[in-house]
Amino acid sequence: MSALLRQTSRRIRALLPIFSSVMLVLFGLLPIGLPHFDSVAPAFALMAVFYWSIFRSDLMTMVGAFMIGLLLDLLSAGPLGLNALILVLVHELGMAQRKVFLGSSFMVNWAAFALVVGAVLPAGWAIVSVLHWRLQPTAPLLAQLLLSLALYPAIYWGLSRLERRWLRASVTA
Amino acid sequence: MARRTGRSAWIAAPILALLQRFAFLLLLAAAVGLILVSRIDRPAVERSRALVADIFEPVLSAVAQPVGVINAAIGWVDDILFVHEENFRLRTENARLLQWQEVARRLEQDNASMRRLLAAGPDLTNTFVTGRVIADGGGSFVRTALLNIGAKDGVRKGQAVIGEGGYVGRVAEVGYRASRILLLTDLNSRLPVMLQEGGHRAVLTGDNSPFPRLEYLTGAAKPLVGMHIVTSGDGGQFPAGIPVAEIVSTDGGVRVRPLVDLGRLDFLRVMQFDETRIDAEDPAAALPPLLPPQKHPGQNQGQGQSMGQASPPTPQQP
Repeated sequence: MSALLRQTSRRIRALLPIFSSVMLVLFGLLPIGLPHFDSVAPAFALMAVFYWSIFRSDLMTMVGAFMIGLLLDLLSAGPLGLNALILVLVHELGMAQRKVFLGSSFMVNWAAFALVVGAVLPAGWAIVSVLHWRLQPTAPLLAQLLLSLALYPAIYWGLSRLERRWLRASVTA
Repeated sequence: MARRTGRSAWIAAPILALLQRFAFLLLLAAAVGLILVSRIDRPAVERSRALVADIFEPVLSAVAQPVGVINAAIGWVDDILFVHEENFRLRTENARLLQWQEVARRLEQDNASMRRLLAAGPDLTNTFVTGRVIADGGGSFVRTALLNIGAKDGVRKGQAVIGEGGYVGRVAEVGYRASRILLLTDLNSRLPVMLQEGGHRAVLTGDNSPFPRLEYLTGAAKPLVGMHIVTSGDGGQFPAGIPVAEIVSTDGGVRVRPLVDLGRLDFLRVMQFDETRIDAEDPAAALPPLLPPQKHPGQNQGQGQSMGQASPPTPQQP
């Protein structure tokens, strides 16, 4: 009985990376009106996928990243598939470099996040510009980039707390 | 939790690694395919969006409540910071509006008597459903908002959405419980409008910037900064005369600023406009009163009621 309970609890906890990412997707969609900012949302989902693909890539699979991006696309009314594409790219970049990041400090992780965000968000901007055949405004893109960079430490802290509390090494896929 | 060990892991590992590599390319292709499909098969995409919005509506609605409080707090701080300027502005505006109030009273009376003279038919009435914004576009590429009302509340695609002060956007997708509004600043928004002075027709085109462009303005029109533009009603999906925006610049293309602060949307009204509806007997009863009731009823008050009966009991008074 207790073995079954433990196993169920482990299964549920293994869903934590996906679940926390979905929560951050919803959080990013909340209509928070900052004065003088017209709908600039920090890329919360991107932060979550980046974090988990480095630290628990066994629980945040590439398909998981794709599905989270798809959910964001469906809820946010942007071009369908765009965020799925971006998050798959982020997952790949995180996975490819995870050996470097695992032992390194937070500052290194933050710098890497800056590089990844600085690559994929402008790529998304370029794709949308091509789709509409018109250059999109760059101010919101820049604001989104800076806001995401500024808020990453908070998300990193929160997710690492979650990981330490609920996902010890025993929890595996 | 039996992990695969021994021989099976030895065989599975390279295959898994291969699949992993393959999965990346496969998922990339799937994403690109989705982007292309969503450009072609819009109805299917809309349906799936509406479905997902319906599923997540309860969660988003629940979380939007505290967000309303946070927004109010942000707005409060903003208000405090500019209280002096605002006060001064309101005083001058109030003085000006009091003069306009007089003008409006007179015009309302004139209008009512003219209508009677012409025996004009009743105005088309509008009813509204009010909903709350539970999510915004969530990105820098779209200007949309998700409302917590849908088909069950009578919302239909194409209806106009009104905020505090004027037009906000139109309903783009409708689910059972939630619907998505395309704001007038969105890249895909095209709104038939006219200049309030002169009634020159134009199209208001969004480009994701906070200031949409006024296009296809007829040559005779002379747009000036400060002029107001209203919906023209062309297209028949909603009535003419809904306030939309104010012209802010005219050099190098006319740009306007929406009258509603689109960064701070909370409660919005969806206008249920039906051109074929003629069930309204008395337009004045259906329309919200433009001005507060006057203390001493003027001569126009009595005329409208009836000439034959002496004093019919009005349903309003018990």
